[in-house]
Amino acid sequence: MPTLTVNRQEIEVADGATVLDAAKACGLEIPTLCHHRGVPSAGACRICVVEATSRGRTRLIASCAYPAEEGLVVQTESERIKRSRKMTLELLLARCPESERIQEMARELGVDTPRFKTENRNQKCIMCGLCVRVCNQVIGVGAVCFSGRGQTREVVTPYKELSDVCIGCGACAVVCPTGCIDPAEFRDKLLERIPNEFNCGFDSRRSIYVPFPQAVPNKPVIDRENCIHFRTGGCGACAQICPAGAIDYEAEDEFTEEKVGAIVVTTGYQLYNPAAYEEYGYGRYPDVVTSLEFERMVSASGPTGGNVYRPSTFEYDDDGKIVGGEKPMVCVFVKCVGSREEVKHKPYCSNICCMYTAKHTMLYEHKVHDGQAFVFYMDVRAPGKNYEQFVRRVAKEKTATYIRGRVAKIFPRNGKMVVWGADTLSGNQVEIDADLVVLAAAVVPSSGAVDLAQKLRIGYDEHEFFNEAHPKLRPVETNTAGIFLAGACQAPRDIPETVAQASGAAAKALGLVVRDEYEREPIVACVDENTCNACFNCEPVCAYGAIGEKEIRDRKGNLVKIVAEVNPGLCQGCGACAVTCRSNSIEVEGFTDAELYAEIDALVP
Amino acid sequence: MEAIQTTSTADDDEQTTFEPRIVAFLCNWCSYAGADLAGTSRLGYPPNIRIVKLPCTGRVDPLFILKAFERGADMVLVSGCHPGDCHYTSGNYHARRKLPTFRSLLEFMGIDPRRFQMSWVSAAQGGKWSQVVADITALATELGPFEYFERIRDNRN
Amino acid sequence: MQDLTQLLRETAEDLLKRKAVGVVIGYGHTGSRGDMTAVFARTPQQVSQLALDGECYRNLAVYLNKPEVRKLGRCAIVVKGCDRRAINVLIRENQIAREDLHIIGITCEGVGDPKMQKCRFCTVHNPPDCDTVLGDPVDIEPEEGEFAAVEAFETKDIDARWNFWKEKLKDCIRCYACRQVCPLCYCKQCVVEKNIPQWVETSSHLRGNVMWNVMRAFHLTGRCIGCGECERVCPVGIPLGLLNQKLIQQVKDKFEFTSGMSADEKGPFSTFDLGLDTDDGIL
Repeated sequence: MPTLTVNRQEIEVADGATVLDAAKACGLEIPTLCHHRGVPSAGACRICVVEATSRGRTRLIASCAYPAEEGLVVQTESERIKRSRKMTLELLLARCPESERIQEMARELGVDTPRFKTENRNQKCIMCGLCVRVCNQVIGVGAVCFSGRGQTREVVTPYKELSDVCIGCGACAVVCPTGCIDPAEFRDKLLERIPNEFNCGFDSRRSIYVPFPQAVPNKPVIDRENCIHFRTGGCGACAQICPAGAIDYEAEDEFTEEKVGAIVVTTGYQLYNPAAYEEYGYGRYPDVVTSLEFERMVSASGPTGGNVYRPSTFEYDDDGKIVGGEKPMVCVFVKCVGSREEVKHKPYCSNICCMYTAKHTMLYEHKVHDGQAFVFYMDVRAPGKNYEQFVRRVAKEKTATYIRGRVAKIFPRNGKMVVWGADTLSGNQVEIDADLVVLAAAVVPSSGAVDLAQKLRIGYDEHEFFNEAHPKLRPVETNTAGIFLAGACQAPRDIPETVAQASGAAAKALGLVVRDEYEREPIVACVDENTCNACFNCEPVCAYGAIGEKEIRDRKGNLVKIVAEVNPGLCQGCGACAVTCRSNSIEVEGFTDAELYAEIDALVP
Repeated sequence: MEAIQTTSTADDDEQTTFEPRIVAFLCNWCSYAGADLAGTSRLGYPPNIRIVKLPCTGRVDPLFILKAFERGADMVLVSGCHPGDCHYTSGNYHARRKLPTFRSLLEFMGIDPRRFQMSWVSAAQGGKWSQVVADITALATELGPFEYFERIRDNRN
Repeated sequence: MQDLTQLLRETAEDLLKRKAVGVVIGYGHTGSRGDMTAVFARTPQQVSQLALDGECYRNLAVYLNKPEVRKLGRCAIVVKGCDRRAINVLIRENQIAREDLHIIGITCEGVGDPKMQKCRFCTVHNPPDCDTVLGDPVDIEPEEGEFAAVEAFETKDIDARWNFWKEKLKDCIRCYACRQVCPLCYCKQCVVEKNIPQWVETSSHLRGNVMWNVMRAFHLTGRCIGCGECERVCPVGIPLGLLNQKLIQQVKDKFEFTSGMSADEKGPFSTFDLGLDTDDGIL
């Protein structure tokens, strides 16, 4: 931990720190060009020069590369330093008169026109080699290097051909102080933008990212498939930059085992893919979007910052952010896309679409004041508290024109999306030239719901929604004791319903775990350990996974045998195991063989 | 029943007085509730049926069926939830495999398979329950007394 | 067959000398009248008792689960194709572990003279997954359909069937030889020996006899591999194999299941298949 003096201020810095780091720690600004904190320094541009005095000798040194030594005395402002920087900039400006960064810096240091003759080279590159260093030492690829000497010196790939080694990560372009690199000169295939899943792929994200604004925990994750570090072993920029040192590339996915007293399943839903309606052209026409995609667009934290644009006209900046687009002046909302379609799609009503479509028309009006909205509907179902009034308001305020009927076809014509539909109230055919079509697709369970149900041994219906234990009397429980349901994993639900159900599930789960002893129906199966053969034919029969193994040990602890054991907390007492057991070693309390024998005996004397 | 035990008179006389004894194994959640509904709905059905309540059709051991026949039942009925509706998720699926297989074994042994009936009656199907009982009682009456085991008794010596 | 006997003896001697196994269970003419019975060779000297010939009809798998045999350590066992299937069922029901066995498979063209009925439709002449196989691979077509006997019996009307079984079962003396010889009737306490309640009457009269024989057959549903030992040992000649065969046919037709083909299978009553199972015959 060396201590040095910077502008008469004493400071202790970490081992391996540079003079630049020390100055920064003192709150001093030193101009730099070839320095990037993620890349090893080389002191190439010499803009960052400072005066350093050690052992009675004062020299100009490049602060970005000079190590902070014990007892060093540093001066960051002096005439000598200024002269040196001015000279450097004069030379750079002569070489790169067009570079905005150099011009700006020159202005700051009071350099007007360089004394030196420009040789009409009009370069942007200042030969600082930061790109070469980042590619070689950080990314670990080494796709670019200096070539030539003197005036012909330049940064190129070998033989100036498109490189196979270059992975197209674009780190060179990111670090370049003058912005003179186009990675496309190095490789034909650049790294693709990673679509931001949370924004339905409208914009892009980095390979280290926070999944969505309200993520819990609100911490970034690394997408290993796209992360340069995991592809080349290099980069590591995030680890270098993170002040908390929280980034650990060695961390592995791991299985953790927890014993729990209750499980609440809240796996939610996803939208039915409207591509199943070929005539609507979802997936083929960018201006046909799902309600969720529209929802992201109108969100202030969404990809368009709350602006509604036609996706076909999105304008992106260099960073992949959407910065503009054409506002849709006519917007058509189509309800029941996939819902209430018994033959080819889903027979059930998706519950939430009527209300969110009404909300969407309002939001659309807020965003596009002179826009026109049309809603194609089968019925308007608004049975919740104040829901009907809300829909009435939409209709009354003429936020949207409601058309009762289905849409037959959507196709592009002259830059518009033509919507063909029927108005069954007037009996007319309707044709609308729309700018944007929003499909209110059906609610379906999240993918993987069946796998999870089988893992948890809970029931699911033909649409893969999880089954409650009883539709009226036990709506948040499953048939498996200790497992509860909340939200759209059970059926399409809106927010108030989900919150109510989740509160119920939470209360039920708490009711289980706060007690030291668990009370339940006494009708459970039990195993006669003397006669159990441990064939475990009973185990797959149990719908609740209540049958496990039990080791019988003698007093010395030697294993005598293994038998089946029923977990009375899980067993529901159906008795399927008792019938499967050939040696009748399983009895169901309350329905024992002896009891049933006596009953049969009494019924037919 | 009395008619069987007293020495029979004329054949047609026995026909008219024969009251079959049907032992029914009902699951607690669907068929038993359905039978209950038939009662509360004032739907009549023949009194020949004698019900054993079980948690689930999955609890029906073939032993029960054979024992009922052995004790003198003329017909056995197993009734439970419709497939997919089992309170225990899959009990009736297991019953649907096991019991018809057992029925085919009985048939192979020479026991009329019509004497072992199965039905799915939900808790809402009071009407179906009364119909099922009426139908199988008529069938049992038509099949006449199940005397195989009665005759076996004579074989005891 | 002589040279096979020699080969078997050499194999057994090697296994015992290496102490790879504690006992070799095989066949030998060691019965009181020189008839073929089971031999338990525990020392290299005892291997001379082992023999292989057309009288190897026993299913030796029955001994694997006996505590007396368990005590002898790792087992080598001589199996035919049908016996090998029984071992698969034992493994799937956790009665033995594959690694505790050294299976000596013998290829088999059928046993008995005349050939036993089970051999006439056998399709497992070459036992699979054995540690040692003796004999050349056998490739012979079945002589008759697997369920020919069942189908022939089913031409009888329902009363004739009952009369047939009544006559046969009347003679049952409840010696339980059928149970003792069956490799899959391994219950520590058979249901017939449970007396609270006494589901199966134990005295030897037709009523209890029907119950016993029906239950015995039914407990083997989806498990019986058709070795026919029960029928062979029945002292009063009840065609027990016919009942087993009927259930094998049911399981195969309805659930597309044949037992003992692999040690990983699940029994037909331990599972269900919504694609296969129907509501046929259910009101």
